[in-house]
Amino acid sequence: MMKYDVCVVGSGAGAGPVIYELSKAGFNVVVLEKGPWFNTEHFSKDEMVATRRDLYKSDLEGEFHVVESKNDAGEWEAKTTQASGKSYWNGNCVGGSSNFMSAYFHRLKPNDFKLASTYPDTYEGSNTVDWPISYDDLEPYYAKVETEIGVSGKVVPHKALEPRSTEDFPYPPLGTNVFGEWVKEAAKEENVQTFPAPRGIISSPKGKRKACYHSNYCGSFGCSSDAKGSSRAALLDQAIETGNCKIIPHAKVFHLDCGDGEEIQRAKYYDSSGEKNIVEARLFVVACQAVETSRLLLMSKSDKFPNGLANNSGNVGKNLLFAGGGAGSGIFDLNKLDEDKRKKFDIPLTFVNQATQDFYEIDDEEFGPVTKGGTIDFLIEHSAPMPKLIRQKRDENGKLLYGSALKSKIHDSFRNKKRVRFEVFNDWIPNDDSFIKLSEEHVDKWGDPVGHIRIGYLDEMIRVGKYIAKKATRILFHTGARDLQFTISGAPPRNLMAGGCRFGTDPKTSVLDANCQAHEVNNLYVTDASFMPTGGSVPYTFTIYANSFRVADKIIERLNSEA
Amino acid sequence: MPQIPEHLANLEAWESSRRRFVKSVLLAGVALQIPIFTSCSNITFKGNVKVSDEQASILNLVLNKLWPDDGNGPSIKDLNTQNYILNLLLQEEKHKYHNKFIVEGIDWANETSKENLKADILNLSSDELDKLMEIMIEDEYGSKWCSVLITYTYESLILDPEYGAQPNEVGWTWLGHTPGSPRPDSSNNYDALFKMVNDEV
Repeated sequence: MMKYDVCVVGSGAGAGPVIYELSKAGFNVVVLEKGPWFNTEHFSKDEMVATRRDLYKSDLEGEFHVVESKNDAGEWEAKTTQASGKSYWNGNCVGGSSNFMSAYFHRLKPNDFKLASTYPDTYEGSNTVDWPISYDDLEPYYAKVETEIGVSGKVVPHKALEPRSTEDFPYPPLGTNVFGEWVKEAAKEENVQTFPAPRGIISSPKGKRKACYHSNYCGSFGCSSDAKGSSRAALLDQAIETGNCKIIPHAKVFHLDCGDGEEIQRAKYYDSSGEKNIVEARLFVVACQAVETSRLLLMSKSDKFPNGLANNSGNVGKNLLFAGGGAGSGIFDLNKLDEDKRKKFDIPLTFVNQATQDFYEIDDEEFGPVTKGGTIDFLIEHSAPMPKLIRQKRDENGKLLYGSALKSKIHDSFRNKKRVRFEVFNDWIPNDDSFIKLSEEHVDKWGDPVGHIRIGYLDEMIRVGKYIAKKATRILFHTGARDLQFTISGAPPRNLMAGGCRFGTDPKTSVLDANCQAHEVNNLYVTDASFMPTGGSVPYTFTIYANSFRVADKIIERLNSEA
Repeated sequence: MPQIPEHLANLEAWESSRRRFVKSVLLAGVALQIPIFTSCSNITFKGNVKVSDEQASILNLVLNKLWPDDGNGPSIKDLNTQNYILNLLLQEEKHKYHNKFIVEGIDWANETSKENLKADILNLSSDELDKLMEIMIEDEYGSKWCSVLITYTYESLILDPEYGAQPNEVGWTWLGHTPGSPRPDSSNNYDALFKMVNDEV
């Protein structure tokens, strides 16, 4: 049997850079991906596939999670995602969920790497710790992502702008709806500065990838031009071209086998017919999204690791992170706009790309001591019509509408109204009640224990989120939007997950070292968002990519030295 | 009294994410090739569920109350909604509780009519039918059943005509909606990708 240099489990944003860099460096890489291998031609703008039947996600019929959260009485209550219908899967295919991201690419700030020491009062009593690396360690890799994955935007000075080694993004800003200008002007009314939001979407061609053509359906949909910087389009296709990379789709890894030793000897996986197979390699890199990465390690028990691989410290699965914050919206009555404004606004172009980080740190006496805040991104509702239809189903009292009243409301909402939105991102504070473990009751279609997720959050996260959402709402008001509302809660965005295998310098309190190599297992690396002890107040994908490029360099250095 | 399926207890989640509910759609491509409901035939499911002529007529009646032909936009007939739904049911051998819920709901609607208005639903006057609809909407089970039917009506309104509904894009035209580009075709529609997901190609 062939023994590969490196076996990578997963193929999304955490895996792509490692696969790409190691293949280019001449190492033999095998990738085990649970899902199918779609190519660009398979991605159309089809709501049936993407959202109505959720075909890009694992089928809850055979693969699900147990999710535990507090009920109204404050008691923990567990429910399977089969029962709730709320899937925690995000992209079951080669390239993973990076195929379907909206690609808001904000960098972390220097303080995000040292939250515990910067804001000791805020995070007292939580599990917040500083990162074992600094912003300066990651900065070159952010710059690399901007080039290799492709980030479009324009750098403008603002109070939270992070230090940069390059002057600007390599791709100019994408075209935007006029609403972006309205947001910019409205923010000034509140003495808030916005800036063009960087996107992991290229605005001019790069190799075989075409520029964004504004397909009208973006987030949740695969990209038909490969402008979106998915792991598949930006990295894996080139890795394959080296001749050093083999991707095996429909390969569900269920055990990383150490035998009776302390290093992994082989990965065991099920193929599409349920048959068991093995792959042998020198090094193993796990990157199958935070929940499933911890689950795989916990499932990989052996004599040396009776509590799961790399888990003699008991830290695997702990300090799971989602993203704090929430969203808000307002409505424009198109009939109240003058003809010119309406014409410019009501076009099928939904990119707004205006953000503010004026509240990334909250310095407001009324709020309390200076503390960590977050990011606001402004948007127009997605063009895909079903979510808009669903929102029309009920009257103001929650009663189901039907008949002519329903049709009339729908017609009015599509013809005369446009919904604008904002999203708030603030830190999900790590705590003892946010973790993943193996279910003791439920198994998946292969008979393996499913992941049991407990979702606990701290009230401070909600307090910060609401503060920022109120600021965003005021800005929306000045744009002219009405019927303003927002929701900030502890319900996690299921597409933003991190932690579970946090990195650190102390093997007693962390799973990985500063290079994302397992403290306890010499030939194991974890390169998805699992490594993050804290997540920052931005979406995670940019940082996942950057860190994976960083770790790829460490692995190459090691393999070269061992050769 | 039939039961509400567990996953429909949280209707909002189901509406936004429902593949487990109707994985069926091995369907779409196949569905369009299946001779569908005619006024003198029974529709037999591969499971044990059948839709009789009477049940199909009741479904059609309720759909037309939920989405009436009132001159404002396309009707159920224009959208081909009933055939769209029956096709989904025909393809749903892997998720029997789905067609079970819809078909049981049809029977429940008729029973509710008999119980409250002392007549079969198909024999109600227009005013009586309006009254029955209000009774159903106020009922937890009835409200969820009607909500599911509305969601399927929505699908027939806005999904690509590739799937057998909204012929000539009548739904998009009414809403002034511009679809995303590219649109699905036989090489990448649900049927094609479903086979890929299940490694059948």
